[in-house]
Amino acid sequence: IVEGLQHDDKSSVSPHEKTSKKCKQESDLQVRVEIRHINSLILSQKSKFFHKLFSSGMRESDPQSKIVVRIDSSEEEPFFQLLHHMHGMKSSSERIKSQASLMRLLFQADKFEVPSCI
Amino acid sequence: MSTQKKKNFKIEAFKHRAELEPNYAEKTWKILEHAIQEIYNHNASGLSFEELYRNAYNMVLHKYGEKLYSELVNTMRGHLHQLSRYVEGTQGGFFLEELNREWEDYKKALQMIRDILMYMDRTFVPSSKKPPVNDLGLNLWKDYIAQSLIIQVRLEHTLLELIEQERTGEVINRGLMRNVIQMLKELGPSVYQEDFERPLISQSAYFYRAESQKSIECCDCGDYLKKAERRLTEETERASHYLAEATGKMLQNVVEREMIANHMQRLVQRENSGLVMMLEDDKYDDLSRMYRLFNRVPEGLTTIRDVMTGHIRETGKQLVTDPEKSKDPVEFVQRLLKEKDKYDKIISSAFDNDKTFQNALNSSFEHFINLNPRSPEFISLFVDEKLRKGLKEVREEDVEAVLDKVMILFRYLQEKDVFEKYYKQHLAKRLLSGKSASDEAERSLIVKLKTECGYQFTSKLEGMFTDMRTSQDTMKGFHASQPPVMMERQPGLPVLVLTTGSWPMQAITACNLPSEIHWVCERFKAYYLGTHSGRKLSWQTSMGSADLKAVFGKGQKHELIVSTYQMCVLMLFNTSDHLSYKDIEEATAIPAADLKRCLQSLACVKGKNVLCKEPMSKDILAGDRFCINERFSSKFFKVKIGTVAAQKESEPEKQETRQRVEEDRKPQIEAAIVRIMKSRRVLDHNNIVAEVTKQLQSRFLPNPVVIKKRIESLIEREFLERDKVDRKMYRYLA
Repeated sequence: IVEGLQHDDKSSVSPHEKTSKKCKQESDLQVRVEIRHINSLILSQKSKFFHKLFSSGMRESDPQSKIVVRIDSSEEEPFFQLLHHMHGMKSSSERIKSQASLMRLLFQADKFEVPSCI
Repeated sequence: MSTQKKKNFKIEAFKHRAELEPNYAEKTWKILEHAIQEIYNHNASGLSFEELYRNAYNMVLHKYGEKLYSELVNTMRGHLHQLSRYVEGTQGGFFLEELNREWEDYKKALQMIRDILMYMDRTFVPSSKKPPVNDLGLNLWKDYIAQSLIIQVRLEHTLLELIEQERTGEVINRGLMRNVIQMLKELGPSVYQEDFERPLISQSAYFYRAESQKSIECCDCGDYLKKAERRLTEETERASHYLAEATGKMLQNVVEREMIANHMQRLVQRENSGLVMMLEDDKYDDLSRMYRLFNRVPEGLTTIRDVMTGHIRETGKQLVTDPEKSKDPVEFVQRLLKEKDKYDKIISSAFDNDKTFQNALNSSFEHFINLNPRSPEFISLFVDEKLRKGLKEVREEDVEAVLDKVMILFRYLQEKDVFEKYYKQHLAKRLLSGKSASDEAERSLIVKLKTECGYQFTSKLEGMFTDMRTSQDTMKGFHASQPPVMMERQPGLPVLVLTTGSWPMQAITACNLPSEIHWVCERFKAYYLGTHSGRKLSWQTSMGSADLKAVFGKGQKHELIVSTYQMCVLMLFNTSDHLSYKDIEEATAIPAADLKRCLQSLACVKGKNVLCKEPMSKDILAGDRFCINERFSSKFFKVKIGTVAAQKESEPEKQETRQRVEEDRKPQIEAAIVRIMKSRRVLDHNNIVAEVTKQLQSRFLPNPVVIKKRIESLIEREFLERDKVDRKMYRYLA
């Protein structure tokens, strides 16, 4: 099971606010697509991965494009926790329940290079 | 810290997806390799960063970091190999452009590759101690392109050729130069230095050596320096446009060495355009350029300073020793001041007010001013001239300025006591004849002398001023004491009572005053001695002056302003018409030399000849006869008859002053010896001489021979004794 995340730019005037879709795609087995809205500026600042993602000159750098991030289903919960963290939202709703989930969150932070979460 | 209970924190092994496809690594790498090729082919916009990053991340996570890295190296090598073939094959003129374009592309691609392999750079590379992707890329570029045999030589050659073209005035593409040189810098300092900087420096040295050889043959010094300065600015500018800062400095050094340091002597000593010419013609621009340029090289300023010092000394020596030029003392000093002004201005406007230059100037002046033993006298005469009449037209500040300048010259004098001697004489003349134009200016100079040389130097001079003031009071008292009827009948007699010692007076036998005057003198003497007991008054008839009312044959009335001697002579003609030289000498008892001068001024000066002389001639002889010139006429009512007196001292007078100075020095030297011996008790001869010289330096330079004589005299008088064992040692006897 894999997940994806997309974003598109609503207004070309202010590229700071971006809408993102999170989608789970069903490939040969099951793929779920979920759409989330993200702020590319905040993410760029918090994560080196996202910074490069938006500026590398590849497909994702096009402001019109939708961003797709494929993740394993096991990564779903910590990934969203990470996104929340980066946006500076309270993590009360997704309180970390166990050491295992904390581990998973740290793994995500390492993968996407989010020093503030580590 | 806290009493909180520590929680046991257990970390469980995190489970990765274990089940991987058998050729997982191979497949994933293929995806990445394809992407890298696409990046090289400028097709990156179609790739998904997320996908590539995820693949690279997974490979590293699943311990395929080693494979990923080595495959990457292989791919990059393959690409660079092709690239080097291409660059080598470019045609002449476009070589740099092509190289630069490929470099730009390569860097962009490298950046992208680094980004997608970011996770590997962060985790795998540090732990396996391999160079990160960016460094790897640069190293490979260096090996395959920048330092590949053919390209390296061609690159160096092209760059140097372009720089030489620019030096000869052509316009080159500086942006391109900057980019390519920037590439060398990015490949590491050693690449930049070895492949570019070092060859550039040696090529530049060669270039500038040749150029300076050529220019120095055909340009004069000023033009050559202009050229050198322009070259320096060019190199600075070049460096700021496309070279490293350090290289710019090195190139400037090359220009400084090749164009300036190596030709310094030749430039400075060049005839017709060298330093001496510049100094003479006040070429401030050229001089300051020379200063700036020479300042950059070792020994540069010393070279300028030495030549300047030599020149000043030489011209100064000519100035002070040329007998023609020292005829007029005022001119003489004026010339010195002009010379000083000239060099002051040069130093301030061209030599940046350099202290060492000022010192050189001062020592040069000190050197040559003292070459002429009459300098102190001349300076004093110059002051005399300025304080005597100059002030009427000149404003006070200007006088101050002139006096300040004179003080500068005074500081250069070694024989300050000689100056003092003359100054005293001249000041006395000014004060007694009432010719001193401004009391303020006189005092101002005394204050300056005081600050320069101390109280002792000026105490007597100040005493002279005090005498002048008290004399005024004495005269008031004298007039008040006389009955008014007497005052109207007798001639007015202003008397100045002078303290012996403060004034430069020689003991002189008074001449015979006319009876009218003599009588008043006696009354004054009685009055003065009556108020001040125990004093002695003697009349200095050689110093005074008198106003005479005279009526000539046709009734012309004139008032004659004459000296005391001249008055005595003229009064004789009240009683007789004809007198011989002998008669006059007997009647007045004026010393023969003074009398001759006095008669000369009365009889031989045209327009002021109140006496007739028989026979008519310029000189006064013992057999001459004199009578009143009844046809005397002048358009002025008041006629001033000066004494024919040489302003400058005559040879015997000079000798005499000299001798008096020497006499005055003796007690000073002795006092210094005694002072030193009193504190030292025992000292050898050489040290005494050295210390005495040091102590007296501010006033004069004592002659060692004289010091020796003084020591001997002190031994005779039992102030000192020779050591019994070591004859060179002296002992102080308390």
